[in-house]
Amino acid sequence: MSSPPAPNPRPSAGVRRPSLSAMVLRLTAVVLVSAVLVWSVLYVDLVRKRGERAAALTQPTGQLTSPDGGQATQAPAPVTTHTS
Amino acid sequence: MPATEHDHRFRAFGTDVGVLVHTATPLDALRVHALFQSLHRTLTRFDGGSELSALNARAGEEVAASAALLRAVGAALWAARVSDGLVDATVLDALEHAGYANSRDGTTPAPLVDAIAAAPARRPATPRPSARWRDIALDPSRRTIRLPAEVRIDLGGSAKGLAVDLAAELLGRRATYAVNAGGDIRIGGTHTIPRTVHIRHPLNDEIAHSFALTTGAVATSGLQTRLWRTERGFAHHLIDPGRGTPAWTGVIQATALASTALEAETLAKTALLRGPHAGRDLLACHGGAMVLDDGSLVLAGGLAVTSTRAPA
Repeated sequence: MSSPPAPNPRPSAGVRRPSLSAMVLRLTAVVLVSAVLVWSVLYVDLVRKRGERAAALTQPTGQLTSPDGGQATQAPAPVTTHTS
Repeated sequence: MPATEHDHRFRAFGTDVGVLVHTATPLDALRVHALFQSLHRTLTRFDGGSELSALNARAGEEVAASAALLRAVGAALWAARVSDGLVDATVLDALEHAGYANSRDGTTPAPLVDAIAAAPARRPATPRPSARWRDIALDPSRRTIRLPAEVRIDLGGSAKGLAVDLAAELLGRRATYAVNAGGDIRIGGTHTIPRTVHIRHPLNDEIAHSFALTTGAVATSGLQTRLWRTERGFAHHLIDPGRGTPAWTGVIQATALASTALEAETLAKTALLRGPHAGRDLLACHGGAMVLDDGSLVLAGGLAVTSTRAPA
């Protein structure tokens, strides 16, 4: 019975191993793109939070609107405040 | 989603409570009901078995307290601090001396018009010089409270405001909601739809003014409901801490807007106790309204600008 052929430990002549400088370049590019993406997400989040904080500061006691205005949605039932 | 809000009503803290909430089931309203009942049982001074009564009975000692009592006493101390001692929970002795030792729930109040006619000279209330509320020791880390010796407290309006705020926390994610505990109201919801708020006039029970509120709180404090005759004339439950007697300041009802019901309740009571001029200045910050002895309505701050007067 013949044994199976042993795997060739040497790379084939057609496949070129990338040089160290190319690998460093590629790695740097990946890191840079990732950093830009992360910072973009963080920046958008920061801008959104600032907007929310500003909106909260401009309405410290609740948002007053005209009874005649508002949205087309069905108006909620009125409430009455009084001495209790 | 249902077209209308669930409308659930019950009694707690000696007043009518209404819950309006836009949900598919009434479970949220029932949770609010349970919350109010639990807080009422803990914080009422009219039940000798309540946790507050137990605390009052052990003045001078360090007493273990539940989270609800800790929070309620903390709210009362906050109210005293921001009102410069006018909203003072330690006036219970004066309140009882004035005739409010037992619950007045269900009793018919004396006529407000008669009380106004017989009231002594009007003057702004003043804080109690001894400011015993400052000596209340609250320790949230050890969950203990120590009242000064011979000092008892009434959590009254601040507890009601706190209950409304805690209910609003339960309903915060609903499309629309309103919690109304005897005029202390929180309004909100994710749909941010304006809701009309009416202010009832204390002399004729008609709508004195209306405005719309999308999110926030409004509260009213006044003499009308807890008002009774005594041998010396008339008395009510809003005590002038400095004099230890019911306050007659020239204001018979004050309504305040704020971000929370506790804050609105404190502002309304402080404005009434300060009197017409200083009261209006106080309400101008967040918006509010006052009804004076002669029945006239005074609007303050944003309420005067953005709301509409109810038709006569």
